[in-house]
Amino acid sequence: MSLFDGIRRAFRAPAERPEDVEREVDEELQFHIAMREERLRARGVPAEQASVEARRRFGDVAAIRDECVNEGEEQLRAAQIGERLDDLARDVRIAIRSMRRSPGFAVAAAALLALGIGGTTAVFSVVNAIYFRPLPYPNADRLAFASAAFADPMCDRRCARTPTAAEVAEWRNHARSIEEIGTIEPRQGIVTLSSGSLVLEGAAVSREIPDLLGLHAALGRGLVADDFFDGAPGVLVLSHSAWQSQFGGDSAVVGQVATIEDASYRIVGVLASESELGPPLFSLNVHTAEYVMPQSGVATSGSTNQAIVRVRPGVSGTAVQAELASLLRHASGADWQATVQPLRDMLADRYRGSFSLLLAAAAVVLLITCMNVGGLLIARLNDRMPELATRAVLGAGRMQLMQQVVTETALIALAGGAGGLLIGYYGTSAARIIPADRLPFWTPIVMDVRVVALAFALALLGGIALSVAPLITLSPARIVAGLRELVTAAPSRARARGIVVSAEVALSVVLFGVAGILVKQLIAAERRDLGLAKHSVVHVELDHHGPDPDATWAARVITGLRSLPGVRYVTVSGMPKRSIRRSVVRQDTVMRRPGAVRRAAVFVEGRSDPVTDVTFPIARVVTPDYFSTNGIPLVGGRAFTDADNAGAPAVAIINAASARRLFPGTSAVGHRIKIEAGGSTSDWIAIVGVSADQLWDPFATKQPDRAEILRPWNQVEALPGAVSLRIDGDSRPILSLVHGAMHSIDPSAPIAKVVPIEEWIDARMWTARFTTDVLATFAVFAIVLVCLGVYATVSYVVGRRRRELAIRMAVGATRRDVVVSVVRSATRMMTVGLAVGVVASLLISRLLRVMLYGSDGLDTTVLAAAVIGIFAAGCIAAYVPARRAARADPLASLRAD
Amino acid sequence: MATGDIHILRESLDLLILKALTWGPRHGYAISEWIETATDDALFVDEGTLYPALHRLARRKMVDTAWGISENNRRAKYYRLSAAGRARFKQQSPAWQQFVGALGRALQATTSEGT
Repeated sequence: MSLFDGIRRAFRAPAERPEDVEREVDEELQFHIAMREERLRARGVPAEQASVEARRRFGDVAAIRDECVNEGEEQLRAAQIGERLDDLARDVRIAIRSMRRSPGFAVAAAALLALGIGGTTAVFSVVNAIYFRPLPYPNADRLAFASAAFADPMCDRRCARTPTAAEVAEWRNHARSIEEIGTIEPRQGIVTLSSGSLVLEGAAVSREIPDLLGLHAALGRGLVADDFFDGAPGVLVLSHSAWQSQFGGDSAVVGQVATIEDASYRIVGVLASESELGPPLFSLNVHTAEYVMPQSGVATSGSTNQAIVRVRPGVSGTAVQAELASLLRHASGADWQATVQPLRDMLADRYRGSFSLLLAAAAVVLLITCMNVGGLLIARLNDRMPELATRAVLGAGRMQLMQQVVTETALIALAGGAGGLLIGYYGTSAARIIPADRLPFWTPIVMDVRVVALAFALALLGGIALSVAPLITLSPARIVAGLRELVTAAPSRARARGIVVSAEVALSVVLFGVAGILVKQLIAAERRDLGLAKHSVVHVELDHHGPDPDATWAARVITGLRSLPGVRYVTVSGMPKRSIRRSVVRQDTVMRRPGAVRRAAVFVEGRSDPVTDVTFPIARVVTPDYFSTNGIPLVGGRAFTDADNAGAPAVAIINAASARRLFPGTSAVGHRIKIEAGGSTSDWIAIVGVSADQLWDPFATKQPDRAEILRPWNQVEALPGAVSLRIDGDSRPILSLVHGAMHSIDPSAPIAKVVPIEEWIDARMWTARFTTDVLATFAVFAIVLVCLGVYATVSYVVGRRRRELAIRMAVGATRRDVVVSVVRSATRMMTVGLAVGVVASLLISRLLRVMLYGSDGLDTTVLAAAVIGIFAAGCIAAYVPARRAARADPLASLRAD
Repeated sequence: MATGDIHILRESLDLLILKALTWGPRHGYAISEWIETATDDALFVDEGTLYPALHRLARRKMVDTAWGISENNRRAKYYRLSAAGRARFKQQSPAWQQFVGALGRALQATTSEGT
């Protein structure tokens, strides 16, 4: 039928808008009525009558019209949904077909994405584990440390002390702002089992602690209320990690009896791995208590007894602090105040600063990933222009073209995301090689799906934005018009590609530069002269309870420990008895607070007023070998000798900071001072030496300025605070020897801890080491990504220039010429990026210089290394495709076009 | 007309429309004329009821639609049997003949026993 042929094409096009539906229905119904009228008139019915008759026969026009419009609109809706689904399916089919034609592109783009997403995810999962995971204690957000602090505006955090048993009892009985309070006291001792002895670090806890911290056993039983009664048989539970590392996870250890300092304890269980007593409760370090035992019935006290409170819900920190302070004043006198510090804050203090740096690094790596993929997509789009132009000619609108490009990007992003998930998973598993003692115990490293999702979303959105952007400015008409130009040259897109590579290079220079600065800072801090020996020193920290040691105690300890193999020097240091506050007296126990630093005033001979603008701590009292044991150099005068005894003139050694303050411009040696402390003033004391300042924080940007005054042991009656040993070789085997020797010299010697100096330094370096490790990983990763980006770009450029290169070779260019020409195009892109990166790094390093120790202004070595490294890596990445181009048969290349 | 009959009527109208289109595309008026003639004007109460049926068939993709020029040079909406419509007609037509035959025989039956 000819009519049908004529309208064949039109049969596929239904109404497109709701208004069209109504209009068409009206027109159709009118046509029918008009036709009927005509027919009636043709049969001789008068015109007026025909019109009425036609409407009568048609029926209720309005009702029929509504019915038809309804149907039409339904059809329209169904058609639109169906069309969209059809379009999507079609776009996916086209995308898959075009990917199959050039699988290299799809694989490269997906692989880049997968690497970027996976790598970022793996590294970030580690960071996340440390910074964001909640502490593994019930109601951890309401747990806080409570301590007492000396109420003195001149006093800093050093004045804080742990509360006494009486103060804890006062808080426990009367404080309404807290729900619960418990105490933890670190212990260290030789634990002897039938199988042998080992030094373990553990904790004695009050009866509230097991519930307060949710300590539960994985094996055997945990501590129960009965264990805490006076006279209850001694028990202890092992931590999961100690059970694994020290006892090989042997369950037979449960039930055995351990001897610690002549007392017997039955090992009744092993704590669950997520239920250990770790930082910040046990120490600010990453260590966990290796065993936990009940605190003995007699209330112990001393400088290491930590009070943990659970704050009542809804009560503010300041309210708790105010209540505890008033109770404290009631119990211990007016000059004490209370401090309450949430657990989380203790840890946050430790990690502050490094976190934002790591977050920024992760963002940069992800950005480079997105740029890489975006660059590939731009290149790809360029190759697709002829096809898009063809589709534009066939009537596809801009939206349809965009939809297709987006579909293709989304498919690649999906593949990349899936690969990223896989790499992230294995990368995270690989991150578990980080030694357990460098990570807090509660942070099992697991892949964080949120990070994967975020990385994926960013890569997807970025990719789509980059691939769609050129189409927004390019109308289908222009695509068609510019077809020839786009196919042959495409200079603008090649330039865009170059800019992307430049930006990537710049970003990686910055990242590498910052990582370099941190590495340098770390090395500088590790090498830094702290004014004391950084190895081969062991400190025995003493607890301050029990009876006063007699006058010969120090001499006996020194002689006893000197006889141990490998011990070169031994020294005892402590605080003058006179200065120790005796105001806190409870029943038969004398509490002493050497931790609370009282100030001393110093008079200089020849000057009338005391020096008041400097805070002098109470003199530290030391035995003669103090300087040689701790490796503290003297910058003037002499050290103490045995001749500086009670009968000899009073002498002192001050540190360089004190000397600068007391005797600016002159030598301190030979001058005399008086020290006023604890309510009394000393006689004139001659300064016989000046010692170097000690740097307590290896990362401090300021020079140390803490004033210090040292007095000889034989001239001042003092209580020992610590014993230090200078040893030859490894400190580890000597720890149990020291414990044993101290125990035999003085069975009541209250050893808090035997700690090698390396551990003390480690605790200060840990955060910086971790940050630097992660950042360096990111930086290396960024360079790998940049190399991939350069490789992809150069491959693309080579593909574009295949014909040109072939002609050059045909007219006599050597392979070397071709390689040089291609690599040079890559170096041009990189040079711009390197320049921008260097400038940006310099700006950032100026910022960091203020914050970091050891980052001198320019960091030229680091930057030079970054620039040379990235440039070399980029050249290698460019060389591979260049060589391939040079090896191609020019005739074959020409024929292929 | 009782409401109970509407379903049968609608089905039969659909079938008649599909039949009308087996000779090729027609506009609505032409379909109504054919049905009128073919059924001796027995089926329609109102001619207009044809149109909701046509639109329903269009929605169910039994017919395709397009605008064209009629024999008297006016714009008219044409309907064409789609592949689905053709298949449906082929399947429904014998079933209806069977049904109508059975119904006719039943209505003419003279005994209460089955024949």
